Amino acid sequence: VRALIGAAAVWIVAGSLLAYLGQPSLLPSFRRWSTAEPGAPTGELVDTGL
Amino acid sequence: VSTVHSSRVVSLQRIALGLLAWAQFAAPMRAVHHLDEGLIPALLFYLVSPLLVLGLFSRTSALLVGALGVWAWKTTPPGQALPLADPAAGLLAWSLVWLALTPCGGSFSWDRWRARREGQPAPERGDLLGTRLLQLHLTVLLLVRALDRSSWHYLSGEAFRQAAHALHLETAPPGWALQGVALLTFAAGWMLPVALWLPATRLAAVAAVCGGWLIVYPVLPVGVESLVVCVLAGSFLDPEQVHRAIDRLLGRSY
Repeated sequence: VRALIGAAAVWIVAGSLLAYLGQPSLLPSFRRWSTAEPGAPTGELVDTGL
Repeated sequence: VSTVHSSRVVSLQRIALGLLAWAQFAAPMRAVHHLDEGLIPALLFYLVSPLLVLGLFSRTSALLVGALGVWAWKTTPPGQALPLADPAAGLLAWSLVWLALTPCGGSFSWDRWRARREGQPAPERGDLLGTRLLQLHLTVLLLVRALDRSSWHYLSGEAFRQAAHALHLETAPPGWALQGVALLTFAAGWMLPVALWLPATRLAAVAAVCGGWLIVYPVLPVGVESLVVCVLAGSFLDPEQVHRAIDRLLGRSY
């Protein structure tokens, strides 16, 4: 289990970095959507960029 | 350094994240949306998620609900079925997967009640090394947000002006106030991820993260994200202090 936790910790950092840079990743990017970006949610969501 | 501590914090996190999983995933996971494909995972979510909240087969339930959440979040195109495509859904789902690596059924659970009833050992303490993953994921989120704020667009207060406009505020606050808030949140954004890891500032940082995000929750349309962040911030609390606090609250040793 400890080895699994260690591997997951490395993956959280690496996967999040990839997601932040817009590369394919299984982890969320955490970036706020910009309404200018393709695929940005529409409807009731008000993007604030904050 | 021993990582064996009280499991009450992770058990409370299991219940809270289970309830938040319902809030985030239950409606879009209804079978009617998945008649063509993904019906089995959708039904499995409804079967397993109550077990997670009740604490029956806790770790397996956390892993399954987390994996189903990751599946739903990852297979939903951005811009569609918003509750699923939201990055907060991904954070919530992965947090449940990390929770499965902790003794999240050690307290306040059907598992513990059943073990005690059958006369088996039901220790409330377990190896909490897995909570490091919850801490790490929250730290990464805060750092990414801090990185996004490191632009003149944000520091000038322009992002807040646009937000005020987008929220249809009739009277926007003055520019100097918006810039002041921008500078304050920029500084906090970089300080909090560090302060959470320092013993001397940890408690204040947890309070600041929860306070800040709870202010965000009713103001901006961020869904359950703020509450997920508050639950994750709880993983920075001293588990033994929380254990004793709950004992005091209950007036007995549970």
